[in-house]
Amino acid sequence: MNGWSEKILDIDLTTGSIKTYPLDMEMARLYVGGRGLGTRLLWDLVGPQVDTLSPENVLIFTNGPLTGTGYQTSNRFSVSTKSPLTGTVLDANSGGFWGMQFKKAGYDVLIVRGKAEKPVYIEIKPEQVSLHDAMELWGMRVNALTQKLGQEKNHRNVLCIGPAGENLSRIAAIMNDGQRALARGGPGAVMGSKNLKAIVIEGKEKTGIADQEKYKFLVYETRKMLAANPLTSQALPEFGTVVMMNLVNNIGALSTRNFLHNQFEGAEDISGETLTEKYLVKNDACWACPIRCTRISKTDKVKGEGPEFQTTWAFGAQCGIADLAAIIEANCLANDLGFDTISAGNTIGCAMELSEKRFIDSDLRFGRGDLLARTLEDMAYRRDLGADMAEGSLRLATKYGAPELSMTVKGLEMPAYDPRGMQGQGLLLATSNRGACHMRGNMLGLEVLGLPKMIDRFQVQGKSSYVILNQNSSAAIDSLVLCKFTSMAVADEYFARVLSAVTGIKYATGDLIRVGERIWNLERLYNLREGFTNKEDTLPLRLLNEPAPDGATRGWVVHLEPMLKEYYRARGWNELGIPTAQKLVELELDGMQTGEKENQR
Amino acid sequence: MIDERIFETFREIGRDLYAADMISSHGGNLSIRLGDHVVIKRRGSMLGNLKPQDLVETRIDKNDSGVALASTELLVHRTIYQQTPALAIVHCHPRTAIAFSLSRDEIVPIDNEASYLLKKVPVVTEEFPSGTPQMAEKVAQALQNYKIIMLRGHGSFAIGQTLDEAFFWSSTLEESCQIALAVKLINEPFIEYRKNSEGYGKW
Amino acid sequence: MPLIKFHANLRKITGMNEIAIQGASIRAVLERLVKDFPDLQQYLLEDGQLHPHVLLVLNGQPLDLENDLGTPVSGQDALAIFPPIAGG
Repeated sequence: MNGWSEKILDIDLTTGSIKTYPLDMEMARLYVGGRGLGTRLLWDLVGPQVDTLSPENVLIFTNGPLTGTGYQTSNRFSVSTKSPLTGTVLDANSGGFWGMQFKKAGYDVLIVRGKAEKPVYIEIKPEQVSLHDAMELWGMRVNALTQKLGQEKNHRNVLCIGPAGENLSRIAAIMNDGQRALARGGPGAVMGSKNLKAIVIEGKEKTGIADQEKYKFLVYETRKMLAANPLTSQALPEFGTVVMMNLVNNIGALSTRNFLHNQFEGAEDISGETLTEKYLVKNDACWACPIRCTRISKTDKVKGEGPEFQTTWAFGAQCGIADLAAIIEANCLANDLGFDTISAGNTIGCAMELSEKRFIDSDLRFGRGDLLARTLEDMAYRRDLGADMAEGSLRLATKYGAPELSMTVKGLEMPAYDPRGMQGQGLLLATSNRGACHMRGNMLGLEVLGLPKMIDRFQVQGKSSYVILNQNSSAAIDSLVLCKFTSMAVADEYFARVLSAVTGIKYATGDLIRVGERIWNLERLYNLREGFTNKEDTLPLRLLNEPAPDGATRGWVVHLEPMLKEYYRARGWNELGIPTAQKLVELELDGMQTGEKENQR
Repeated sequence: MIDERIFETFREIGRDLYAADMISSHGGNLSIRLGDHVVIKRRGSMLGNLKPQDLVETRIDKNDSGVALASTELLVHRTIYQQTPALAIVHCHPRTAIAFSLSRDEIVPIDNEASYLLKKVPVVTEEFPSGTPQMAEKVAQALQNYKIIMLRGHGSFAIGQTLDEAFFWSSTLEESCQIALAVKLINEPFIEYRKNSEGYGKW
Repeated sequence: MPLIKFHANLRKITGMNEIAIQGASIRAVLERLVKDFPDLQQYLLEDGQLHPHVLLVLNGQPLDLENDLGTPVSGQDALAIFPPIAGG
């Protein structure tokens, strides 16, 4: 058994049954692992009739054939489920150490079904898999619980939910190793709805490698590439991701105050430079990673991992807050409560605009960094307005009569990057299968950094080709499962060869990208089956209709229509965004029935 | 209507290829993928001196440019776009690389830059090298796993996200072959300076 | 004189966040900078050419390094210089 463990662990919390059975290796060949395998299994297990917070929804944890090999960044893992926030297909992806241990435990997949009568946690050890009573643990916050269950970085790893997940917040995350997160789309609520508090894991298996010599050569070449590239060898270790703040702001793509503005006067105060100067303790890394982009930050009140660029933006510019200490504290609190920080910060910014415009009666106002902590607590425990905010910004804004003030796509809150300043990014956010997601093909490299080459960020024609390649490539990487920062220095042809060397199955570069394309199309079919149409491939009206007011981006809106038309054709979909029969045959997806409806645009 | 910025890129890369002696006056070709279309040089035009009217656009799945002129090699380009993740293709005639392709099935660079970037360049062969479906299939098939390949006696096909990238691979290959040629002339025992170099030939 | 803004580790190297520098074009400004702050050389230049990972942003517009070095600049302009940086 090379690469894959070839085993699935299947736990039914309703009946208490614990089963293992073989992984379908033909399925593994086509979908590899991680996001791919998770999506494929989700297709079979969770259909349109399933309510996302009911016992019929399923959590599918997956790792990939490269996980645990020790190849650079081979620590990541995924969870697949139907999202309680968006109703779309969801996979969320996390780093740290849990994924490595999951592989060592000897499984490719862990399926969790049903609902326990009372809170439980799962313990997976080499000699036994068992369910334990978690009544005493219910209510505990993430850090305390992680310690209590015996977290030991390399030997015993804890994955859990905090109060946010317990209270079924639709923007709750599943946390692992304390402060890493399977965040977007609210998987924490699914776990909470099953009365599952934690999954603790210990393992001892080693991942088999088919061609050791080839594999070692590839590790060596990768090490050279990572060391030679200034992004992975200097920029990320020294400054982390927050260093993007000043750059994105400078070009006028830093959404501010719920996207009312696209530049933030306080950007310098919440920049990577300020973080490094005033609050950084040191950097840190996930398992088997030489890049070391993690920040450890400290204020008078807290010390913890992060904050990342997206989080700093979400609690910062999005809320008009320039107090970096308050943002760091909010990040630590959000992690401890178990929230998706992007959705949490974005939702708070939305609530601030609703409040300023008197749609709701609240003391929330842009710039009120002093209210972040209280608001997050209210959201986690569903107190007062927090109860509505815990549902995410779209349900919040809709309830109070102003859905257009929710900055979401398909219900998922938008990340930093005002697409009025990055047209290709706009197309990406409108078409990502899990909603407004930048991690499914980020155009930052091409439109801002000039890597591999500067493509004019305002150019509309031809953008779809890059977006599609990025989407396919990142889907492939999400199934291996590796960290996308590796791909800043290492090309896809290396990943294809590592996969081949580890598994003993030949994947050409094109085959690997085709795996990504297959995953993307299956996700699309899943959403179609759920009733989504091309109407949902859109952006908040503000970005389509209100010209950006600031800086070099002033006057621009997103010209989505022409990009979308080109995108559908380039993907081999019809004008309604439905994959053609020919495309499905090409990708070996022709067995899938979607039952999509007729649609008018 | 082809965006002016796109034309500019064609013009610059074409000019650079000609200046580097990697194409003859009317030889070679450049193309990019634009959604589900291909933009390619018109047959009979000069890459070294492109004008806007020298670029034609056609669908990827068939030639509907209305112009019986889109280069004889349009089929190869379309096939490559259908079968690989390429977004840009540079096809040129790098002289020294062509010379080496005549006596081997793969070119394995010995200089530092090309070892690092290319590792190995396969040579494919086809009896009637220009414009046939068989040749198109063979070239596209090889480009599934390599970003630049040689068509024996004919020239190189390089793919990338951008024309720049594909040009980069082409230029690196020719540079590498010129170095290898000089090494043959110098004709002294090769001193291996690279660690794990046996891995390159197995790329 | 155009205003030059430094970012990331360039601040530590120059000891400042921004400075006004004499220069009629981008190229002239960069040459002047490297002259005034010799330690910047290794971050801005590689083999005499602009380092491929350096990012120059003129009045909010990222520059295409191959073509835009001759762009004229004046006192109204702000040029931000970023060393290689990345994020998500």
